[in-house]
Amino acid sequence: MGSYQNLLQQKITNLTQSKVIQFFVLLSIIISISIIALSEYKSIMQETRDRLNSKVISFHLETFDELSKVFEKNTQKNFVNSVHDNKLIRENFEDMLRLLRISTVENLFVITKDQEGRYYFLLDSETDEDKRANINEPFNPFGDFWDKCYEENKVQIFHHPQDQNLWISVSYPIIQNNKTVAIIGADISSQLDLTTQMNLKNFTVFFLWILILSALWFVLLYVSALYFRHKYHEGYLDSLTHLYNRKYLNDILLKRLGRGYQLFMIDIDFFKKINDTYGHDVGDYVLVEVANYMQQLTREEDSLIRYGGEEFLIYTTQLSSRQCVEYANRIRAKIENTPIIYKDIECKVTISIGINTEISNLESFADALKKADKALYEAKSSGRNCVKVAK
Amino acid sequence: MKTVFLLFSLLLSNIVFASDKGWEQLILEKMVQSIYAGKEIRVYTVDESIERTLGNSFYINLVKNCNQCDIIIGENREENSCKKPKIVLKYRNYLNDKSAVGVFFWQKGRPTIRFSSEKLKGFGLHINGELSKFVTTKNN
Repeated sequence: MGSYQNLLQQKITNLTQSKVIQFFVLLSIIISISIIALSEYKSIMQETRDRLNSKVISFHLETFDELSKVFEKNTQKNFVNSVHDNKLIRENFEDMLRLLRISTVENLFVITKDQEGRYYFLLDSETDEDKRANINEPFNPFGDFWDKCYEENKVQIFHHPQDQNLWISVSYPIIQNNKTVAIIGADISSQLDLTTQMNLKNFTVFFLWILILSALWFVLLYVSALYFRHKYHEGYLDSLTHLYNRKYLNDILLKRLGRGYQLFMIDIDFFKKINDTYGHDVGDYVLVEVANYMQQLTREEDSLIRYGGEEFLIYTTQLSSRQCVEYANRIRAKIENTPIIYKDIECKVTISIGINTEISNLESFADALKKADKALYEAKSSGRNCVKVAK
Repeated sequence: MKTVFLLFSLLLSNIVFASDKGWEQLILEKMVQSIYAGKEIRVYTVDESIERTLGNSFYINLVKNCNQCDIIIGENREENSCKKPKIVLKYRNYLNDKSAVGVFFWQKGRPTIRFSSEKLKGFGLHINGELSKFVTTKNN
């Protein structure tokens, strides 16, 4: 059960260390951040757009307010009748409307309601005879905001559905004796909103660039981190055998020595002879193969180090003296029983191992290593291909 | 409620037709249907644009002879000899033409409808349903 759990844990560790998984996790993080940033940006832009638009609308309303005051002042408290009966007043008022009709205002007119509740035109700023609404021409009020303006004596704003030429319609009441007698109607072209949108679009492009550059920077950072990690690890590996090197021993292992640990000093027997007889290529091949076999037999938590030349060091923990000897003998037997074949050359290689199994907490690593080395010397002196334990 | 329904149906059809021609067809159909409810309506027009607009209408049957029609749509002097009610497309003509019982035109981007109760009465007609709110007793 325990070993199954360890296996599972190992698998999970391997999975999380997998570069593909890490890349996809990074990608998901980037996408998630981008989505959050985009939605936040969208809402900010919408808010900005609404604020800009309401500024524009309030500007129009200020104008209508002034206009309605002029209308009221010049008609001696009877606006509708004055406009109906006096052509000169009508023409003057229409001129005023024309002056105020800026390019974004599609239509600017004044309407009133008869006793039957139907709307008709009083004034129109349009000069084109084909488009112009003459006095008393019916007006078709789409939506109930015109009626609301009449009933509530308050300005009403109606937003037209999207994709239409008109953006909003404003109905501004002309009030006399606390009663709405007519309405200034203005249709504001969707061009205005489109202009706002177009201007805000530049910010969107800028924001998207920032987002893309941030994502690229993030990826670059990740790749650099991977590269740095790779280089960092490479510095602690022996280039031939790919085992840990002396630098690893000094920089890393010495800083995290356990409370009780054991050291194996291993030396390939007659390695100089192999080099001298078959050449350095074979010698190197033998080193690689021996390193591979040893690595196959060492545990995940053990550290296998190429100490120098044909000498190796195994740092292990939580093993009894008997277990250490069995462990060392397993490695020794494996090397002895596996001939190393390089091209047509078959080498029978053996190793000698010196073990230091009883290292006290007070003992320095150098002293512990010296003892293991001494045991190795004993193994060498005793005919090689054997394991000796330091006393 | 009916007004809301009418508005909704107009807006819905706007989405479906997505053009002024679509609107025109729908509104003209509604107008003639409100005069001649529950029968196939024979319409005479010499206006090619109206002919195109109403050509594929399900409710309207375009006829070539003015005397065979129920109603005339559009402005044309030749129709004066044929004494039939008329729906015109210009407000000025609606005011001046005694047989123009109704008018449909675009004003400030809004489709505008009017029916004259007096002129309708002259032909023994009246408006049914939703469009009755557009009937006016005034001359304008």
